[in-house]
Amino acid sequence: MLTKSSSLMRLVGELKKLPGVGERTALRLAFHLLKSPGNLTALSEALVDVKEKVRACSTCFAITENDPCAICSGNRDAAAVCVVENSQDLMSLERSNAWHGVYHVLEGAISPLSGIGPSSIRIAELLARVEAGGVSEVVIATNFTVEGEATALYLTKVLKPTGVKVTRLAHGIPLGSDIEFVDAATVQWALQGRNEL
Amino acid sequence: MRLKHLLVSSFRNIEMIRVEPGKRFNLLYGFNGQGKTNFLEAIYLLGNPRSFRASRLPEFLRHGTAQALVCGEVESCGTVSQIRLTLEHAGRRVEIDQKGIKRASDLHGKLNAVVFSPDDTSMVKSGPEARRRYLDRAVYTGDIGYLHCWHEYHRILKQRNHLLKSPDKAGMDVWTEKLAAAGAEVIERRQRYVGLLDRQLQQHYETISGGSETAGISYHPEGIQAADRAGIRDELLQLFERHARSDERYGTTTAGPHRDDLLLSLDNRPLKAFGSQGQQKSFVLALKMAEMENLQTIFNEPPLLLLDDMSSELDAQRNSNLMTFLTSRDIQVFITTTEPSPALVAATAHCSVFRVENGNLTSEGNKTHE
Repeated sequence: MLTKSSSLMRLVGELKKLPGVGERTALRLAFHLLKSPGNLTALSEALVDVKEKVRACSTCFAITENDPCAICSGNRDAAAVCVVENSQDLMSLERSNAWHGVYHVLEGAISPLSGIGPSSIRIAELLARVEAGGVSEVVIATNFTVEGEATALYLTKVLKPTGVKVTRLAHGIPLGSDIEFVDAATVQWALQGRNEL
Repeated sequence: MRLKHLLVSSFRNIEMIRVEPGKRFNLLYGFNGQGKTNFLEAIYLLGNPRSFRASRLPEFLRHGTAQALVCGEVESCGTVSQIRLTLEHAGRRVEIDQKGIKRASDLHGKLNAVVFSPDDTSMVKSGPEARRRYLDRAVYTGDIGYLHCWHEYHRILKQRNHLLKSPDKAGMDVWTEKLAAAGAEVIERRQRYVGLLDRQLQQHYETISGGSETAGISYHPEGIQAADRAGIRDELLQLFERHARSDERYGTTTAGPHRDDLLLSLDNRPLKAFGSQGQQKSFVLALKMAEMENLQTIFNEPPLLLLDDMSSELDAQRNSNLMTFLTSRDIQVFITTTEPSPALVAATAHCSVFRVENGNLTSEGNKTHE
């Protein structure tokens, strides 16, 4: 029988720390790795590299291996900045291929309950970027949660005095969905935010 | 709306009940503690995320069981659908026609029921919180968007209160503005609803009590004169401004819609102080009738009416007034009493009678009085 300090049990212990992974899933994963043909060098290298090589871009704070990141140093419209809560949100916006400007990752949203105030996230850095000049529009793409909305309002307040154009992502009925299947609260929102054609 | 079939199992003291309620009046009689109210509660829970009694989930489970089940067939606007509610320690699960629902609001309007219970009458005498709870519940039943804005308001309130307690108050104005915007929506919807109720109330009060007093219900949110959302928001901001110092001292938001009260009056005098017991009961019952009328307008069909412990609530005259009124309406009613009171049965042409004993329901058939 294996002891707690055996390498398999150590692996299970590490896997269990991952979000959404419990004792049983950890065991299953560990046995899968143990029995998989070939060595696990690729996986172990990727694991080590992700921690060593990936860091935040010094301009937009998106995760990157090269500083400045590919978006900041690429052929993008640096005058338009899209503000997101985290790098995952940035990735979804990138998947849309609809944004040709650059980004700014806040690394969170204001939430007193979690002890996050305006100074705990990258708002000062955003303001500095705008004040340094060259930015004509800031698109706020924080989440449509209470915290995301409060962050949007805070950003509007600090950005407006700089004279920059501040916009917010639209929200309402998801594309390609039947109104029939949208919940009533969203329909009410969509009605309030209707556009003239 | 009609409940055509109901199955309740392992719910409170009910082991297993299968029943086909009558289309009109259903009288449930039995001694105290036999499960009459539990039966009404089971019906109510089919259409509502929370009970009308102040109770938590584990209390719903019959002693020693891990799962309770309430399953009902509801006829609404010509179609019959099945609502199945499973209650477990871990939570509740609702399926409509064998399909699980994702949001609590998906259940909205599927089984509307108006309850009148002794707890409701006590709302007149107790603090503002009980009346607010009544108001919030009533507004939600007729206005599906209310739940969302109510939750949003309370989430912002929680954030703001937490910020008030913390040493670094940066971003306070943002939370105050958000609270005013969400609060304005809550207030606007409450005002609209209370206005509707007030218009119906007088007529029902007269019907039930036979009295000529003027019954009124009104909602005057603190510091608010405006009736449109933008105006309310601005006035709320001013209200929060005026309370800024006390908010900081107490570390909590000391004014706003979460502190408002509902005013119930008889001849323009507060019902709480000047109304007799009988007047208070008639008033609350009239309020429920107004609620019922409102739901009928919104959903184009009457809700179910659940009248708990009628024998203790109203005297014979008022009972008979109420029954005469209900007989004139096409509505399914469930009444619980401690005895099959002749006055109740006599007033109703078609009444299915059930005896409730130790969590069991025995049908005694239809009693028709000509």
